[in-house]
Amino acid sequence: MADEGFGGSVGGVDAAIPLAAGRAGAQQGGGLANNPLAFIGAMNQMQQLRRSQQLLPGELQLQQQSIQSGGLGVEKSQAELNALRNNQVATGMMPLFQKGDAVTLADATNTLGQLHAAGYNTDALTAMIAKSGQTGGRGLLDVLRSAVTQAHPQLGVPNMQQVNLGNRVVMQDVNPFTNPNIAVTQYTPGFSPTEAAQKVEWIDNKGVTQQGTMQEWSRQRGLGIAGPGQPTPVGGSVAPGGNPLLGPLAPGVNGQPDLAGRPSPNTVSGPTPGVVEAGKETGGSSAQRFQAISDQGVVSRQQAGLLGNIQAEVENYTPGKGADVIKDFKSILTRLNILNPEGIKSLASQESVDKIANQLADALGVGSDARLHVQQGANPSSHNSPEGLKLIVNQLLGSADYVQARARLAAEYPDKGKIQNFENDIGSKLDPRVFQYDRLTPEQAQEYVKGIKDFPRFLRAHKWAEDHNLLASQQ
Amino acid sequence: MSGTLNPLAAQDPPAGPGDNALGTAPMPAATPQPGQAPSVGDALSQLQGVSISPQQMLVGIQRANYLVKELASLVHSPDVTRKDVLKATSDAVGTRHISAEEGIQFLAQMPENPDHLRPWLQQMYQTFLVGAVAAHAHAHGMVTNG
Repeated sequence: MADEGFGGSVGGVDAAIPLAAGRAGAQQGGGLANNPLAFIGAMNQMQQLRRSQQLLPGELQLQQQSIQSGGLGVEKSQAELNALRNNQVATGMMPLFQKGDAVTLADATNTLGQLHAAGYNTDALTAMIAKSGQTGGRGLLDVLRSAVTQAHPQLGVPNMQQVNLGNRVVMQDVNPFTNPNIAVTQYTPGFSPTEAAQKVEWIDNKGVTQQGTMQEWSRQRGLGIAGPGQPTPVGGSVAPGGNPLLGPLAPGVNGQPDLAGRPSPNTVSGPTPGVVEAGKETGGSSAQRFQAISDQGVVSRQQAGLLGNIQAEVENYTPGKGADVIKDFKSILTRLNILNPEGIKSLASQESVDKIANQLADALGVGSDARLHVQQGANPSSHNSPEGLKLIVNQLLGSADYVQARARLAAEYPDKGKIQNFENDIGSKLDPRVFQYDRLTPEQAQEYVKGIKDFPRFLRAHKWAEDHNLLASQQ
Repeated sequence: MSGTLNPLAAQDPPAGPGDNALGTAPMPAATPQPGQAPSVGDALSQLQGVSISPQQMLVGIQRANYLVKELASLVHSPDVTRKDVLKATSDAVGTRHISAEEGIQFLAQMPENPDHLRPWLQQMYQTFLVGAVAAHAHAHGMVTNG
């Protein structure tokens, strides 16, 4: 009964494959006749059926994609489903591993119950715990670790990262499902081993040319790794929330193939937003496109001046008790005449600071480059607060820096007849996030980098901008 | 300690077993045999068939956690005896985690043969563990589905 909704073939996809291990099967264990729970109450079959048809978040969309693709995307969707499952299990189990030796049997049953409610069959895990005799602590975690990696082999792959132990940096497996000695909060993923060892050259604060590895450069620039037990200031491949299992595994570790599409340290793969933007400009000559970039720079310079005014206002802004920060922010923008009348009118409908900020970003003339839009701090409590205002204004200043830097480089580019070459040679190396980051306070920067998923790429772009003296902090 | 497998059984059951599936329900017709473990899905589907208030749910989960822990201790005691089971049941009644009736029913199922004691405890432990997971799953489902 419980799994009927997933049986058979759907659009060329054997729906049972990805979901077989997922739904809790009510028919297991010999049925109700042998089930000692039978006396408790009558089975609510309708409710059971409803549960059996309940998909995990995201699965419905993935299944629809498989159906629509007519089977062409089956393998991809299958992989995505498996990845989704792995991540959800990892996320669900993480609190247990964070408890370490303090974990109890009640913690485990709670987590298993949560996983079951989310649609995972927890019978095998439950049976393993019962059989193991472990009632808590490290022993129980070992049982869980073993069971999870059996059910989700991908979670059983070690994830080697550089970890700062205070007085030395070592390579360590930071996957809590494979390394029982790792405390989840006490590691800092950053580069892959290959990326960390990449030789680079840079000019230090004294103007002296230095040579070393990417890791050494990043540490000297203050972009390095955190101390033990501290939240990492650089996210590396870690997704927001600090779950190492949601990020990619390091390439080349334990026979793992390099991640598809992951760029080598010296290349930028795929079209960058700048290139995409250029491609959208189907009308007009190359020279006209160069002119458009230059015009954006002019507009941006004007906006930057106004943003400076906003920054001054925001820095001095102290809301009183019961103050409406959003309303006050709108008031500041209106008073400073930042937007045109239509823009001011549309402010009235915006209900969050970040939406207003992105409206301002659009006013900077940045087109559809999503990277130029601001991101909220990782701490939700900072949203729509004075701190949140300061964060987004600084990001906007960085966005303006980016637009101006791009305009300057475009003006200096020798061959105005080949916009595509400019985008490939120069535009692709510019990353607006670098300019935003450069404008942030250290505290804001720590929050900001948590949202950067392709951190090595960000670092390469940072170094490139620094080498070309493009950052506001270098002026 | 109760022989029922329902960790959500109320502390003060109403008038009769027939009125409340979570109350003083009759014992299983047969003691579960090793290898016939109930599934979380079975347990959950039956919990979903009855109406449980959030407060009952909370009490039930606390009760489940206690009983599972006590049973685990018995199962993994190297030389567990019927006397140990009797004491644990007495404690459970004394701390009002189970009623006296439930305790009596549980003890009534206990095998006479010492060689059968551990397998029986193991089976009880696994069944209660499943029930605890189901109770938590039900609670999470209540939160999720409203």
